[in-house]
Amino acid sequence: MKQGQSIRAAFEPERIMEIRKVSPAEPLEKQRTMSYYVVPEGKRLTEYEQLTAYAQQSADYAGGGIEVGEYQQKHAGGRGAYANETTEVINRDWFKFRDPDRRWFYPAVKAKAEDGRTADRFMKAASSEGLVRLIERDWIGFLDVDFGALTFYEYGLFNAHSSATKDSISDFVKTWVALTAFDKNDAAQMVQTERVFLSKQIENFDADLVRAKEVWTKSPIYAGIREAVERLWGDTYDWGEILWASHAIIDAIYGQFVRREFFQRIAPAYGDNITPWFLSQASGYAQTAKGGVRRLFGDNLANDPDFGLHNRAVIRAWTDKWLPVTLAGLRGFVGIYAQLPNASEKVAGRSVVEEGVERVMQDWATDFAHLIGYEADVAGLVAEVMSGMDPALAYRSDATKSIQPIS
Amino acid sequence: MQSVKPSGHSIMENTKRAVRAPTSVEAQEVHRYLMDFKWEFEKNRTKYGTKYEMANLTKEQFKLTAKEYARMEAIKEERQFGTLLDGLDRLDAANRVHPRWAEAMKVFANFLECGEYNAIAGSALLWDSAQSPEQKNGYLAQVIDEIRHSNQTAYVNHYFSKHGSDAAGHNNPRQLRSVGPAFRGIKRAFGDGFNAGDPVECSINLQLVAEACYTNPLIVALTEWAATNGDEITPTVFTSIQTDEMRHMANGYQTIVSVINDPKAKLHLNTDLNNAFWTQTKYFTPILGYLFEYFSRYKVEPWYKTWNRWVYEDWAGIWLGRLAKYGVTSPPSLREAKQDAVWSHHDVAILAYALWPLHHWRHELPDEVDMAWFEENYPGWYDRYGRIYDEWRKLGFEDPKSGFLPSAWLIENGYIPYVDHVSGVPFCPKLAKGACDLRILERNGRRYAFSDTYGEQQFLLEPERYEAQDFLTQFEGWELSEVIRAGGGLRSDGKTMIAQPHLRSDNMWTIDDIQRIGMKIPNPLKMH
Ligand SMILES: [Fe+2]
Ligand SMILES: [Fe+2]
Repeated sequence: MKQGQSIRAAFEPERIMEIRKVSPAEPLEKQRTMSYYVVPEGKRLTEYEQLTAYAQQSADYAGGGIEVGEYQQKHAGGRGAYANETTEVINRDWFKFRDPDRRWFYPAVKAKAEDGRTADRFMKAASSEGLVRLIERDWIGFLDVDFGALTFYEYGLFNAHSSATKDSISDFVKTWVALTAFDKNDAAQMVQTERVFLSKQIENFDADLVRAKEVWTKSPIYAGIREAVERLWGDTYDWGEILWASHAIIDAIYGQFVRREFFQRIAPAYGDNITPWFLSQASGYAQTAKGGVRRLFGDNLANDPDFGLHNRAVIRAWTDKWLPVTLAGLRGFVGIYAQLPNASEKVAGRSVVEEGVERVMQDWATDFAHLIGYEADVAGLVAEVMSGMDPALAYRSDATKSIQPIS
Repeated sequence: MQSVKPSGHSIMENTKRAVRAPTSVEAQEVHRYLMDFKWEFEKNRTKYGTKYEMANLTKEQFKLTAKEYARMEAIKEERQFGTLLDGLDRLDAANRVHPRWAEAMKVFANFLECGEYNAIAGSALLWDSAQSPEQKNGYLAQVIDEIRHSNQTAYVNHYFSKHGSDAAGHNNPRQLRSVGPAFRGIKRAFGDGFNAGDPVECSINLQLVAEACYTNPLIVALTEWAATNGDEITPTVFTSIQTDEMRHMANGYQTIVSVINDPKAKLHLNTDLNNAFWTQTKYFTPILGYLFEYFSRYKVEPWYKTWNRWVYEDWAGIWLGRLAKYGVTSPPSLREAKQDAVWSHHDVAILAYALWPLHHWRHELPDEVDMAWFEENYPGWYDRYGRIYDEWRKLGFEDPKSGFLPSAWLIENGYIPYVDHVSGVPFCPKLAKGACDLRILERNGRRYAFSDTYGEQQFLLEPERYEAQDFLTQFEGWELSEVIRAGGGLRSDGKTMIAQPHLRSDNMWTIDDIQRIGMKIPNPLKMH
C-alpha cells in the first residue's frame, strides 16, 4: 500500500464488519463531558468553556493552572512564555476569567462575517439611493482628514495588543485579548472602507491617507492622543496595563467621544448619514471590549480574594498615569469644533459639546473608575477637557489652513 | 517632505456623482492602503529581543482584511460543523472508528492542540516584531487562525468524548497529560519552541519547520491513516485546518525575506534553522511514526517513506531550495534525522509501552499481524523490539493480577531509560536503533542527560533557557499510583484507570492493581 491509495474503511463492508467485531458492546466510560472537572461559570459547562479551559500549558506557578512543572524552553535570560512577571497585577486564578460574550472561534468569526455582509448590503443600498448626495461640501474635508486620522488611532491601539496577546496568561484571557485586538484592527479598516466607498462616489475625493497622516502626525489637535497611542504601542510592556489603558481609559474616553459625540453627532448635521452607520460597528466592538475589561479587571482582579487590594492599587496607578494623557488628547481634539464651518449651535455649541464630554466622563466613571475604587471628579475632568475649547487654547484651522508643526 | 495638498475643504470643489448605481468595496481596495496605516515614531520597536532586523516594506501574499477573513473562515466553519454535527452524527461515525485508532486520536488531537494554542502566542510575537503593516497583517491572521485550530483540535476530543465508545482520555487530556512522560516533548517543540525565544527563531520553528515541513506529512498522512482505520471525523477537521496553512507557510517565507538584507542574518540564520529543524524533528519524527504505525489496524505505508517524501525531498529539497538564493543551506542535522526517521519511533514506542500507566490512552501490544508488517518493513525489528513485546506478554503485561510492570522489567534488565534534557524525549541508549549518543553533564550540582550533541549544544550555549526538571527527576520517589491519582488518571467509577495495556472491556486495570505493585519512580541520573 502506498500513500494516496489506501482504502477508506467507512466505505468497505469487510472492514466495517471487522471494526464492529472489536468495538465494545457498551461504551466504556459514562463521563462524556469534555473537561468535566472545570468549574463552570454558570450552571452548566458551556462549549466555550470546554474548548478553552486549560488549553494553555503554563508553568505550574501561573495562578490557577493545572500544569505540573516548568516551561521546557524559555526566552533568552530565562523568562517563560506566559510568565507572571509580564504584568504587575496578580490573579489567584487566571483561568477563571470568562469572556462575557463567550467567544470562541466559530461564534466570533460568524458574528464578524455577519457584520461584513451587513456592511456590504448597506453600501449597496446607500449608493443606489445616492445617499452621498446629501453630504454638505463643508464636511467632506473632515472625512478626508479627521476621519482618516481615526484610522491611525484605531490601528495604533490595535498594534498595542500584539505583546498583550503574546504575554497574557491563560487561554481564556488570551483568546479574548486576540479577538478584542482583531476588532480594533477591523475598526481601523472599516474607517478606510468608508473612505474608499466615498471616493467611488465623490469626484476628487481621494481615499489615500496622505493628508490624514500629515495631520495625525503634525497637528496639535491630535498631538496629545497620538503621543498616548505611541506610548502604549511602543513603550508599554505590561500587558495588563496595555489592556486597561486601551479599553478602560483611552478608548473609553477619547474613542467614545470621537466616534459618538463627534462623528456620529456632527456628521448628520452635515447630511452625512454614512459615517454614523459605519461607526456603529466600531462602537459595538468597544462595548464588547468593555464587557470583557470589566470582567477581567473588576470581577477577577479588583476582587481577587488574595490580591484584590494589591491589584486595585496597581490599576489605580495605571489610571493615574493614563488618565491625564488621555484627557490631554481629548482636550486637544475638542479644538476641532472651532473649525467646523457654519456649524449650528445645536450640535457644536459649547454647552452641547460640554454635555457630550460629560456623558463620556460620567460613563467612564460608572463603567471603569468605580470598578477599582478610583475617585473621579467628573466635573473637574470635564472642565479640563473643555478648556480645549477656550478661544485662547483652541487650535485652529488644521483642515483648512496650512499645518503648524508642533514645537 | 511632499507638498501639502489642497486643504480638506478645498476638495469641496468636487461634484458628487449623481450616478445611483449600487457599489460596494472589495477587501483588496482597502488592503492596498494598509502600508499607509503606519506612521513613524521614535519608540516604535518590538518588545522582544531579536538578533535580526525585520524590513519595513515587506509585503504579504494573502491580502485579507478582517471582514474578508471572517467571511471566508465562517464558511469553512459552517461546512465543518455541518458535516460533523449533522452528516457524521447521523452515520454514528465515532463508533465506526477502529478502537485502536480512536485511542491515537486521544493523543493526536490534544498534542496538536498544544501546538495550535502556542502558535497563537508565537504568531503574536511575530506580529509585534514585524515592522511592515502588511507583514503584521499576515501574522495577525495567523493568530486568529491558530485560535481556530486550537478550538478545532479540541473539538475532536470533544466529539469523541460525546459520541465515541471510550470517552476516558478524550474528556480530560489537558489534565492528565501534565503528568505524562510524553507531553514534555510536545511542550518543548510545539509549545515553547514556537513562542519563547528570538522571534525569528520562533518563526523558523513554527512556520519554516513545523508548518512548511511537517504539516504535509502530518495532515496529509494523518487524514489518510485516519480514514483507512474508519475515522472520517479527523479528516473533516484536519483538511479544514490545512486550508489555512498555506498562509502560514507564506508567513514563514516572508520572515526570511524580511530579514535577509540585514547582514547579521547571514551569521545566524543557518544555525537557527539547524536548531529549529532538530528541535521539531526530535519530537515530530518519533511521535508521528509511533502513532501511525502502532495505533492502526490497517497500515498506509511505513512512516520513513512518508518522511522521506515530505521532509527530505519536498521540504529540504524544494522548499529550502527556494531559499537557497538567500544563502539558506540545508541543516546538518538532516543526516541524523534521516536515520531517526527509520528507527526513532520504534525506540520511543517501546518506552511508551513501558510507561503505559501514565498515559491518557489505552494501548495494546503489537499482535502477529503487526509484527509481520514491522519485520517486513523494518528488517531487524523483531530481534530488537518484537521479542521483548512477546516476553512482556508472557509475563502478564495485560493482566491486572500479574503484578507485571514493563518499566520495572526494563530497569531490571539493564535497559535504563533517560529523558533528553532539551527535547524532553525519553530514550534508552541500550535499546535505541535511531541516532542516540548518551551524554551526562553535571552543572551546578545538577545532572542532565542528553541523547545527542545538537541538544547538548543548545543547552551549553544558553542553559538558563532549559531549566525544567525532567519527568523522572520531578517524580523521583513517588509511588506510581500517586502520580496517576494526582494527574486525574481514573475513570468516573473512581478506580478503573484511564490508561490500559489492552483494548478489551474486561480485565481492566484499577488503581489498586498499580498500588499493589508499589513501584517507586527511580531517577536514572542517580545511577551514575
Ligand atoms: Fe495551526
Ligand atoms: Fe498554522
